[in-house]
Amino acid sequence: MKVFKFTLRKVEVVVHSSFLFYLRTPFHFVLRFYAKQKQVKTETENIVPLSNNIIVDIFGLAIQRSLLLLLLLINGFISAKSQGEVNIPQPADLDLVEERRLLKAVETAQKAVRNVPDDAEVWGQLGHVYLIHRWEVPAIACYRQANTIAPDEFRWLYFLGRLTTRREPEAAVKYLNRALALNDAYAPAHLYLASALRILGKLDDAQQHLKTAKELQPDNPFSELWLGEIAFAQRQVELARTHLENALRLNPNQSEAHALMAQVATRLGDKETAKKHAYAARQPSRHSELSDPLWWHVLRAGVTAPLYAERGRRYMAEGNYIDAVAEFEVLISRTQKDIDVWLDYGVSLFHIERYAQARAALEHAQTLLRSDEDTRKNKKPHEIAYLQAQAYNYIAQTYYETGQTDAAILTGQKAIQLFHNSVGNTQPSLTKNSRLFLDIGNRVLGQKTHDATYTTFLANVHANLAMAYEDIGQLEQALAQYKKSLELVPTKSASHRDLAGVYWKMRRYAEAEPHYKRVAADAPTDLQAVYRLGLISLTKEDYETAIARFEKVIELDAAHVRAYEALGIAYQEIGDISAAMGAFEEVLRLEPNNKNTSEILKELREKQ
Amino acid sequence: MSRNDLFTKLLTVVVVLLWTAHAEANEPLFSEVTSALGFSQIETSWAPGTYALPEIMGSGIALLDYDNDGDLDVLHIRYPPPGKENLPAPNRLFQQQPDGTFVDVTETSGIGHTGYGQGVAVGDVDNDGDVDVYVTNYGPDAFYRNNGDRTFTLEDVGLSNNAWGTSATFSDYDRDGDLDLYVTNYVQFDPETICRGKHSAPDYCHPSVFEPTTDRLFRNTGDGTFTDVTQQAGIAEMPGRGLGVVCLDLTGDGWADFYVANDGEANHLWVNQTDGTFAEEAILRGLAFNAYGQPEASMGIAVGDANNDAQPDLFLTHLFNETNTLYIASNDSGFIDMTEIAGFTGIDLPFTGFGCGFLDFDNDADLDIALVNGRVKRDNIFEGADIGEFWNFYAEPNLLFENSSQVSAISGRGEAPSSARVGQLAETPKQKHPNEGFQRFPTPHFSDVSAHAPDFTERVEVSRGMAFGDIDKDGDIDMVVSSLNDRLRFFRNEASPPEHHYLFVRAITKSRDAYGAEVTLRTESRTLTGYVLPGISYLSSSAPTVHFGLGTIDKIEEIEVQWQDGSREKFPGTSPNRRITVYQGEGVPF
Repeated sequence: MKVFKFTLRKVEVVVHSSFLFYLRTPFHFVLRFYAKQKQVKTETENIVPLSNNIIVDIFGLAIQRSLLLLLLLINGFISAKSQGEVNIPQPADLDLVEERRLLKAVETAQKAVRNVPDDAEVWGQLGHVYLIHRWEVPAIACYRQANTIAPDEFRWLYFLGRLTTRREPEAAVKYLNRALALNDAYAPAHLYLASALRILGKLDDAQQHLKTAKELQPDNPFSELWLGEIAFAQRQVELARTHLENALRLNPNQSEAHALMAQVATRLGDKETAKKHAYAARQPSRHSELSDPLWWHVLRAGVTAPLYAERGRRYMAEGNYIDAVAEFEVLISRTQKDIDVWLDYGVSLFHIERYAQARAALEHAQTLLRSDEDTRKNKKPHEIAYLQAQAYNYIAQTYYETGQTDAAILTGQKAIQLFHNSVGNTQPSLTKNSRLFLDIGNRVLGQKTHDATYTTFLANVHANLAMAYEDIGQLEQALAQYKKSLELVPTKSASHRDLAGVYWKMRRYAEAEPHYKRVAADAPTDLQAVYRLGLISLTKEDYETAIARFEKVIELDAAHVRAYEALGIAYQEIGDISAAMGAFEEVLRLEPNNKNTSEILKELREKQ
Repeated sequence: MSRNDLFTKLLTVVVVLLWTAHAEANEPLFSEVTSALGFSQIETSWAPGTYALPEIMGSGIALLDYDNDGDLDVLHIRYPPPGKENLPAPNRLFQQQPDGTFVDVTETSGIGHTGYGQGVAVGDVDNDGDVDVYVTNYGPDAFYRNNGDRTFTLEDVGLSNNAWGTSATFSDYDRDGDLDLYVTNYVQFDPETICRGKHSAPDYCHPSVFEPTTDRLFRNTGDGTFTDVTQQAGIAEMPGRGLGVVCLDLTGDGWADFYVANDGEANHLWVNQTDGTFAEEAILRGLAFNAYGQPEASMGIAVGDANNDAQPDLFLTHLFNETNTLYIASNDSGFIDMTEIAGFTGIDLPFTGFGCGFLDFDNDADLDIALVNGRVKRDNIFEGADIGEFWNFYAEPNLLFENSSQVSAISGRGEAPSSARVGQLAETPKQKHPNEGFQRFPTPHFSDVSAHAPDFTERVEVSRGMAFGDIDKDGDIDMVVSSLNDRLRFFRNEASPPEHHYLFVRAITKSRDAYGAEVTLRTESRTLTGYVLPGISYLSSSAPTVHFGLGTIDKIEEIEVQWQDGSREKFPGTSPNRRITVYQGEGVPF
């Protein structure tokens, strides 16, 4: 049946193309030649040649068509046979798939393979489509085919190794060794190879690859974590601790490292530290994904809603909000009820300054949180309140950015109120032991009552609110909000700077000074902070400090006129007239029409 | 192709053919004997699922001697077919007859509770010499007191648990001489929650969709009633999604601890503080997560001394794409995940394990592992699945692993006796595992011998409960399995070669089995340790008698028992192939 269909299709193609002409021509030529020979012969025999010609034509045409049909059948058979040889691995449960986008993606990728079965790229792409949609077995088959076609292509070997690490560690070792022979600078390949070697009990080799991965990607906490795990399994507890401490320095939120540190500390008899890490190990691991650029190739093949959302969030994490919006927009529809999608979409829109749309998306999120039964059913009350607070915070910011400061303040206040509701709602559910854990965690980790994420969020809301108050001139309110923000996150340099700015506006220089000092300590190149600290020193008649600060400003910005001016005054105050004149001359060089400085300089020259 | 290549290929074909013929000639390690035992089950398909979580979790089995006649009877915990919750599905009790067959005695015994049955715990709570039964339900649980006349009475003795109870175990955690009860609870299930699985198709919910629950601890007051001490004991401080539980001393201090297998989150180890309270220390002792520090979907628990170091090791069954995890006790009262080094590399990843147990099926003096599988998420149909269009997507074959380690070579106790039959069978040849870097740990190594127990491993079903015991009293451990389609299957052990010896030890305290006791056999060349621990596996209860495979050991020098109250006694040695009973107070204290 397959052959028949294929042949019919071929016939259609051939009939409607010049191919027929080229096929006909040689047959026709042969038959005509034969007929001519006959004609010559018959003419001599006085037989009417016309009818003979017709017979020859009909006979010839019949033979020609028969041969053509035969050729086509052979061709069709061969083609169908060769098509049958393109043995495309199929997910066994494809029939169950209801998502059209996914079915289309699979169909497209399979069609590409059928069209160009000798192209490793199309096999690899089909592998990606399968893999990202959790069809690992057919994905492996596709990568194997890609690898057969292009044995020296790193990607296929890498994906094969990665996919077989746990199921077929021996095969994984082979694939990854071959991959690393092609490119030994790809850290994730070393990590997966280490993992496979570890499974096979080849711990020394595994450690070697983990060390290489660490050198190649020093900020990847997995190398240290796994080195720690191996050391612990070998009962090298101190060594394990060193590795795990390094891992936690790279990612303090890596629960896996905390879990093992709890055991390490227990073995070392340090119960307090063990409890601290046990507490941290119970929290979800954050930011502990393996940095693997090639994974993007796979992720891009994803067409289901969670994968669009994942891509969107990855773009957000990279600060690429334009692409994030593009990913989320695929998901946005009237029926979309995923609250996180709406929130992330709104936040991304905000960051690319599409404020009106951002507000609309965030308000839609609010509507879902308020009234959608499914959304409310699947979230706890404090989670709903927290999400509402997040949405209000960004809505407030859209108001602020569009000059609607009053609305920004009102909305920001709502965000804070909801946030406190969310925290309040979590407290009654805490059992005695949970509280104990929280207390231990808070004490040892130095956290506030609630999670650090929540704290940071609330600090941001207060800071945003302060900014709005500052804009409308309610400086006391602004001060209060900035202070709250700093109470929550005392290390937030931006809030110190903003708070100092408000004090400055209010001419409360003494109160501004410690905050500017903090800013200058965090960012010694912050011109405004250093300059204003110089001015404060000047007002306090601490001229030496003032001079040092103004010179620092000039070092950072040689065209800072006001710094030269202030420097001149400081030198003048300590009686170094020559240095003062030098500074004022620089002011005039930069601002030739500065009458005030001209007069000061004139007076100084006269005094000299 | 070179001549050498051709020769090599031909040789390979010949070897494979010979090997296949050889393997076929060998007897299977287990044979299904369900029908022969008198179980005539209706061969119809289970009703298609409705995606309500309780219907996919299965139910348990108990192997118990309810009538004290010396043989094992069977209690099958049941629940109605999907979508037919109003159809009563009473639990069924089958009494073993003198000829080894079973007769349904549910009616006369009065134990046919019609709740949505889940798990079962068996124990003599009133120390009157017969076993009582606690049944967990999706709904209020039930306690049946054994009247001593082959009947039971449903009683309210203060064991009130209305949450979704799963596994439960009796144990004298407070050392006051009577059995207390720990009940694991699963999740706060909401039947109206609809979940979707892979590619948006409807499927059973992940447990994380629902709130966790608090397990229950009931203290036996000694007057026939129980008091709920969950709060006072500290158990309420950390809710979880519990499915399995075992109770024994896991910290080496002689006091019974509770270890709870939680689904998709950190397991709990409730360490006995010896004052009636418990502290949760699973993370600190390496039993909360796997070697990678990640939580797994824990279901069933097996306990046994897998590496012959006289400490209890644990084996937990898990979800598809997670290993079943082997935790080996280290010498510092912690545990180390040795799953990969023990040979479970990829074999069990495609399966979702539930009931499980350590058993020395070939009586070769080391513990093997059997486990049953069945998915909780729809996936590709396994070849051979034939349990209805709906359930075929969830059906999986079971697995059997033989302990093939050279444990003794590592621990310096001399070469372990090898199993003649199993050694020959091994399709996966016994490997000398590298054990590189782990020399300080006697790490067992397991080989997949599933192919040699086709009755047990080739039937593709959704199996859940599993219990172990010498049902036919022939000196080796048989198995009984419950599957989702309301079916029980019995597997008779055929693995033990005649030259392999055994010993069964029953430890008795105060007229009842001494749950939690540790029994150690000392022989000239080996020391073997076993535990009186019926409450293992998943939702099930096994025979309480401790079984020791002895290989070719023909003399036991001495028997030591550490009772659950912490006391220790020595009993005289004995010859193998016997069933002996030791009574607390009759040995020599040491």
